[in-house]
Amino acid sequence: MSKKLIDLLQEDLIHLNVEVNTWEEALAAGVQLLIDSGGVEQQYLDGMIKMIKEIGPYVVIAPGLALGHTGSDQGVHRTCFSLITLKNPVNFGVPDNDPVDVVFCFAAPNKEEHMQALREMALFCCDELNLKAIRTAETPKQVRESLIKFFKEEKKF
Amino acid sequence: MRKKCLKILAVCGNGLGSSLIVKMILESVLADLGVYGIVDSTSVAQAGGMMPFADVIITSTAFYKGIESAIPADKPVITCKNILDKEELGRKMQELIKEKFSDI
Repeated sequence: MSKKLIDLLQEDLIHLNVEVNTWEEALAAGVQLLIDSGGVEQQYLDGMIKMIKEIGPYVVIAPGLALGHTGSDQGVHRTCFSLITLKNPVNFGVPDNDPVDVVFCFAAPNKEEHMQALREMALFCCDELNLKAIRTAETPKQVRESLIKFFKEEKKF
Repeated sequence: MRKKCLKILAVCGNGLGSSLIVKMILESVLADLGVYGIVDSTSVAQAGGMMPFADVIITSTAFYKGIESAIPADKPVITCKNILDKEELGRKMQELIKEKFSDI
């Protein structure tokens, strides 16, 4: 069954102002939260980094925003999401959208189960005000409160 | 006469992330434009076999270099800097329809 973003993005899956120096470290920090929650294996991170090196930084989806993910066959146990913000933004090598300071990571065991959460993540991040709320949040709880507030009303693209 | 159906293929690294987001936003764009179309999302590994059947290929600029060589030369391509920007997607889609698919 498809889960809501707010149900997947629990407080322990949100880390703010993480200190990293490279895009690899940024993805590692985001995926580590998925590993700690039992959602994926270390293989998931290795697979993602390998794929980016092969085909380019496909995880960068908008200015300042990355969505770390890779294939369902790379050590995925269940649908999971994490969110980190970076104290110092990092470059992924995408001139239009670098530097990145907001990194969502997710894993999906199939093409359906994460659809609702992915849709909500995209709807939320479409709105610059919400990205600002993520960037200025002081606690994971504040991020969750922004999500809850935003989705009080039904949203459409 | 039934309107022609525009077949659009969104391509990303593994067909689970950005191509699904593009599909969701594009379906909303097509509805707004009153265009009848189907949007499929796929991975770069599977895109090769599907591209000949698509009217339009959509991908992110960040990723375009990774698949450029696999796209048939005559196939219209839209690349998006910001895949969450419905306005960018809508404007590029509208321009392409005007230029190449005036029968839609």
